[in-house]
Amino acid sequence: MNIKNVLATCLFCGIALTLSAQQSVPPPPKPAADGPSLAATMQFIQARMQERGKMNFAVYTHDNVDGKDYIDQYSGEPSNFVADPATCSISYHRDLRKNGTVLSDGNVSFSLREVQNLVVMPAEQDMKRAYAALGHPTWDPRFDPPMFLVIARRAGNQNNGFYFADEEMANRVAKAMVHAVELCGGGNKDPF
Amino acid sequence: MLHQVNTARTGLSGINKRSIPQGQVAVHPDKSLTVTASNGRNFNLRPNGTLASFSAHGQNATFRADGRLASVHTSTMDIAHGTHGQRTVISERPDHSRLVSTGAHSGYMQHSVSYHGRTVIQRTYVSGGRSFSHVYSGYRYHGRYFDNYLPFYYYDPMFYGWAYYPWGAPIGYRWGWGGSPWFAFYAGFFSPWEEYPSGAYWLTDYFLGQTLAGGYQMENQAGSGQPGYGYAGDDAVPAGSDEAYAPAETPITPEIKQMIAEEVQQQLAYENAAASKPDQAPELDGLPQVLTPNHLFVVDQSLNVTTADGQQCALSVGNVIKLVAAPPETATTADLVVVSSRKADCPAGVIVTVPLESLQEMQNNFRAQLDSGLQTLHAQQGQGGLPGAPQSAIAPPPRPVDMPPADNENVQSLLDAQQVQADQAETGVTQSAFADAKPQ
Repeated sequence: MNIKNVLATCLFCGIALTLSAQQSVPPPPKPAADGPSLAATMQFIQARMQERGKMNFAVYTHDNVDGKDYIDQYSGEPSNFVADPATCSISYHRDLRKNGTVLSDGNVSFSLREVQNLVVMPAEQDMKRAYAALGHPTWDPRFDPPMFLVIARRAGNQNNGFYFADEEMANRVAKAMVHAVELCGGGNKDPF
Repeated sequence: MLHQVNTARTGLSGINKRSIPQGQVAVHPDKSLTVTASNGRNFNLRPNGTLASFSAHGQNATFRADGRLASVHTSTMDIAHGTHGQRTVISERPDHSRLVSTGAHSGYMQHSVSYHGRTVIQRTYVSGGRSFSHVYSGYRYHGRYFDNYLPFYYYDPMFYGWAYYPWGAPIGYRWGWGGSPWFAFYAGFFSPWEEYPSGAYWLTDYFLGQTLAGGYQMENQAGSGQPGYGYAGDDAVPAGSDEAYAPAETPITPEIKQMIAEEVQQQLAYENAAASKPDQAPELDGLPQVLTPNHLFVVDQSLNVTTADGQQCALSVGNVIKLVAAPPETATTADLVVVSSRKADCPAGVIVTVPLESLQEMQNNFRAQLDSGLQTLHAQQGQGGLPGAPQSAIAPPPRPVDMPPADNENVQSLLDAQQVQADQAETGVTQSAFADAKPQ
C-alpha cells in the first residue's frame, strides 16, 4: 500500500460519476434588502439630525418636598452632523448651554457597531432619571416646548442623546438608526 | 569504503550515528551509496553519510537528514511524519474500511455505505474528545476515484447570495480567539481581519481559523512513540541534504487572504449550483472545478512532497499552495508553488508535486469548513456582530441533505490500537535495520 495511492482506493467503482471539464456556474442571486440601503439610511439620519437647527427650551422643575420651582433655559445647536456609511459612524459638533453657561462644546463621534439599543422617550423622563441619580428623586421636570430624546446606548453606560421637538420625527430617526445599526452589525451582543 | 562511512557517521547523531551493517556497497554518480546487507536489507545513504532510506522484507522507511523518521511503509500500514511532529497513520481493515490517525487522539474511520438506494462514503471522525460524521459522494476523474464532501444543508439561492455579495456595510467582528492556545501559536502567521465587507471574507477567516485550530490540535498530540525523532527546531540542515527546509515562516498575508476570499466567493456560487442539482454535485462543487491555474489550496494535514528539483520537504496544516497549471488529463499529480509556510516546512517559492487525492482532501476540508461557517451565519445572522440577513435569504429553511445515520463503532478505541501498532512498526523497522550492528 502506498500512502499516495491509498486514498484512491476504489470503494464504489460501479456507481461513480466520471467527470472531465470545468462547468460554468453563474453567481447566486442577490437578495433585495428588507429596508433602505445603508447609504440611504445614513443620508436620512444625517439630514433629519442637521435640520433640527438651533433648539431653545425651558425646563421647569418642581420640588415635591419643599414646593419650590426652578426654571432653566437651555439652548443647543448641533452642527457638522455626518452619518458616514463607509465607517458606520456618526459624528457631530455638540453645543449645549444652560442659562448661558456652556455645558458642552466639542466634537463627538461614535460607531453604530457599538450601539446596543435605541430608545425614544419624553425628555422629562430622562431628566427625572438624571435628577434621581444626583440625589433629587423628588424633583419633577417639565419641558416647554415638549422635547423628545433619541438615545443611542452603548456598552459601559455610554449614551448619546439627541433632542427633537417633534415626537414623530424622533421616532422616525430612531427607526432609521435601528436599521443602520442592524446593517452595520451592531446591536445587543448578548443573545439572552 | 563502508568502514570509512561508519567512521564518519560517528560524528553524527541519532540514527545517523549507528553503524551501517557490512554488505555490498554501490556508489552512485551523485556519491550517494546503496548498501545491500545480510537478510535482504538495503540501506540508501546520502553523500554526507546520513541514512535516507531502509528497506527489507516489504518494509520501507525513509529518514530526514537529521535522522528523524519521515515515513514507514509496511504490508498493512502507511505512516508519514510531518516536520512539526505530526504523524499520519493509514491502514486498511479486513472489512475494507480505512482507518486514518492524524494524531494520538484524532482521526477517522471510513467505509462505504448503501443508503436510500445510493452508495456514499461515511467518515466517522474523532477530534478533541468528540465524534462526528462527514459523508462523501464518489466520482471518477483522471482515471482515479475521489471522495467529494457532501454538505449537511442546502440553502435557498438568496442565502448563498447574501453571503456572496457585499453586505450593507463592513462589519466589525470579534472572534473570541484571544484566549485560545492555537491562536497564540499561529501569531504572526495568521491574523483575522478587523472588518468584513461580505460573508465571503468572514467565511475566509472562519475557514482559516478552524483549519489552524485543527492543525494545532494534531501537532500537540503528536506523541508518536518516536523518542529522539522530535522536531529539534534546528535551523541547520546537514550539508548534502536532499531536503528543503524553510528557514523562517512566510505568513498568510492580507493579499493571500484576499485571494482566498475570492475563492470562497466562487465556491459559494458552486455550492449554490450544486444545491439546485444535487445529483451533479461533484461536477459543480468538487475538485475539477477548482483545478485552474493560480487556484490556492490550504493544506489540511501534514504531507511529505517532492520539489521540482527533486528535494523532499513537508507541508503542514495551514500552508498555502498555488496551482501552477491545470494538470493534463492523464496526470495523477499537480505542481503547485508554496506561497505561505511555516519554519521547517517547504520554503515559499518552491514548486512541489502533490497527488490529486491530497488536493481533493484539501478541497473537502475547505468545503466542510464553509458548510460549518454557513450554518453559523444562518443561525447567528443579526446577532453577535453579524448583520441581519434579508427575510428572502433566511425565511426558506435549510434543506438537510439525506445522510446515513452516524456509525456507532468505537472509533477512538480503533485509533488507539492503531497508534500502538504504528509505534511497534516504527520500532520494528529500526530494529531490523540495525539488528547486527555494533552499538556506538
